[in-house]
Amino acid sequence: MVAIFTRELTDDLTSLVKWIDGMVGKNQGEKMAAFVVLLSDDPDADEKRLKALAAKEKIVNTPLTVLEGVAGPPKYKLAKDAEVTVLMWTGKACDVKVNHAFRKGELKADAIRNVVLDSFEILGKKKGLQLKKT
Amino acid sequence: MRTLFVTSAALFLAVGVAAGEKTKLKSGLQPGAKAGPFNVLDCTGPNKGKKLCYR
Repeated sequence: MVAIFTRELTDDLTSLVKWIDGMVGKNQGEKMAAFVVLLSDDPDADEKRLKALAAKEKIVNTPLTVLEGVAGPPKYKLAKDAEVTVLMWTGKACDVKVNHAFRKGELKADAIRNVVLDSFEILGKKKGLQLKKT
Repeated sequence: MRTLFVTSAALFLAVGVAAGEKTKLKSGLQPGAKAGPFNVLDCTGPNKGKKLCYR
């Protein structure tokens, strides 16, 4: 499972979500799944934004969700200055395997590539990759 | 002189490492933790409009 917590909808976030969405589509047989959580002070308005984003960007395999309150789930301890936090967990026990956190402006192409590579790795698809971590 | 150089180099490296650590943000559950349940409002996909847990 790939969970993307975000406090903003940016072009770079959209790029990451589209990458992950594509991977989910190609790996449904391996039970890969993902969801996006927009942490929001205005869930009604953000619900419309997420619907529009999904339609425009053709995000079909990854549910876009909203959670009221920018702090996020208390037990997840999301940092106040984290614009985007990506968690990956596996198994029924939901053991967290990967954590990536980005301040405003840090989620750039290299960072997106590293997140995508880690999602390959939790699928056990390390071999044959043409991408390299930076 | 050599001692001064070695000391300066060590200090330079220590500051560099410290700076690198400072720039790495820690947020959310760390590897080894277990992801607990929480409910969200699904806005898209087959469950849109529902409050549910995707964990």
